[in-house]
Amino acid sequence: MKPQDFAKAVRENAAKILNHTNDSHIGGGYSCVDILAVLYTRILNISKDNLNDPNRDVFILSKGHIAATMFAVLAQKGIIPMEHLDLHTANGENYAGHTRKFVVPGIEASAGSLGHGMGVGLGMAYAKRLNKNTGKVYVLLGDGECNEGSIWESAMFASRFSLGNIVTIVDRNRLQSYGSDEQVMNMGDLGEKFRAFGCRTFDIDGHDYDEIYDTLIKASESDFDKPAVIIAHTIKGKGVSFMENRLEWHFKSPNDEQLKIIMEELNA
Amino acid sequence: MRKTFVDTLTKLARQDNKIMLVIGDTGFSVFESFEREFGERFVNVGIAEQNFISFSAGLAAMGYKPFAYNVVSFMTMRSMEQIFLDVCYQENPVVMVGVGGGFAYGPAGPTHHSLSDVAMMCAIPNLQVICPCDPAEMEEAVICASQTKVPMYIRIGRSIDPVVHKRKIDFKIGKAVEIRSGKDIAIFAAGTMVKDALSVCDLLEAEGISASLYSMHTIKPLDYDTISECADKYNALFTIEEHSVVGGLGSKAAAYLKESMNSSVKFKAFAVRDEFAPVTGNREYLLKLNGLDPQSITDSIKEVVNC
Repeated sequence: MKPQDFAKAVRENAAKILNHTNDSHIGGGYSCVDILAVLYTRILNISKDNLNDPNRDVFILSKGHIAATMFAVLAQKGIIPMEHLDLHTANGENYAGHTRKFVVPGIEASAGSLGHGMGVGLGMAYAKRLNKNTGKVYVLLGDGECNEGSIWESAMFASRFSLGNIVTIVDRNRLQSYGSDEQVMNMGDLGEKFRAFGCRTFDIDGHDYDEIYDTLIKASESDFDKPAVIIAHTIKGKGVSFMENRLEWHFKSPNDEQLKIIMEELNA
Repeated sequence: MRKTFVDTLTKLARQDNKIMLVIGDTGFSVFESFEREFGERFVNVGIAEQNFISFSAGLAAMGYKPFAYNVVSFMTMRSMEQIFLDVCYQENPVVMVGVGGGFAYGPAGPTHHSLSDVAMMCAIPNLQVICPCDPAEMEEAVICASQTKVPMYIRIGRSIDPVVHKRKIDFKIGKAVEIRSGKDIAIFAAGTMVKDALSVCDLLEAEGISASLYSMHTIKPLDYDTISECADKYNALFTIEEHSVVGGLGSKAAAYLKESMNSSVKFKAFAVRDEFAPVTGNREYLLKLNGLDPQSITDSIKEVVNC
């Protein structure tokens, strides 16, 4: 499946889930769907049959609040059944509003509070290196998440221990929860910050499938002993005119009428 | 206890190449030989407690057995959320070894006192909490930890290395060890206070009160069976711990006796007052300030028994 087709299906399913459940975070899901689509169609060597293989690639979603989007990705990949998407946030079921390990196949680390995924990923990458296992560790962070001090503890560690087998991707959509990045903490040039911590960095258009792919390939090259960080410049709510760059779509869920427009725009 | 820890871990690590030691820039002059012998299986993460625990959780997720060693007060409080989410919620069997429990770092001041750690750690699901009282218990605890499938927290003091057990012990997680058998009262002591509790037993004996003493090395899961048996058998029960009166051994025992047994046995918990130490002092001074020196405890037990 082409990443663009994968991404369209995920956006459609995420909108349906969130229309159905009234849960939030569609904007931050849509900003990273294109990255997830390239990862799951062309980069990660994972499938429902190799989730315990020590040589698999590991993907950690650190911004765990985009669970609905992530479940749509796992269903599209065939790791969870498509019909389970109806169970998101349902009482007595396994699909919470934040991703949870064990109860949902394909989730490598539980998430929900920000700033944890990179550190856990470092432990996994270090273990892979000690074991001489192949496969890389990929961690997806939000840019607001980079407000957390723990991210910078992890960045300095990754560099100090020359972990070249971990690729961190920052979904740089520039909108947080209460305001824009500039208004909240003004993180500035994130690439420069990660470089100052000893990482090699790439600034890319997080909606250009070819550039995402080419950069992930470059970032995954194992000749480097420096950790790679990709700053993926994205648009919150990408793909739907009334959601793009709108802060309120961090929280809102589409009503029936909005869902109809979303479907029309995604299929235009 | 630190020496027992590293000696035991070194022996185990020679037989099990999944054992790792992760430190938070602490343990100078203790771990150098382990580092030399095991190379990359030793990691100093620096003064970064959040990443310290998250990293250890990731190692455990991939099948390693990380022993994460740090100062109690920093490890438990600074990384509480990482312990909660990355270790316990995700069932990653990290063994957290905390040095400096209670007033071990007395003169360093309240930033270094750890009096709430047992309460905080006991409040997290999936975590076992162990307070070994001497090198023999420490060795056994570390051996158990090397085979654990669940996260564990092992809390030790600092410079004191009391020998409590004179003979080989039968150490099981969640099972108290009887140290001394008496007929009037039973004392449950935890970790660093067991040695002091032995002195209490001697003082009581001189006053004509015969006390049983148990090392309650596991605070979670607590040995409710032994507490229950003792409640039926003795006139009065006592707990002694180097921890806040809030949420430790005494709190748990009291709640059990009242809620689950509705027992009328006399009971008193000896623990540290719910306050930051108001003045500077070493361990002995601060314990005495809290009425936790052997003589004060003995006097207080006599009052309870005789009332």
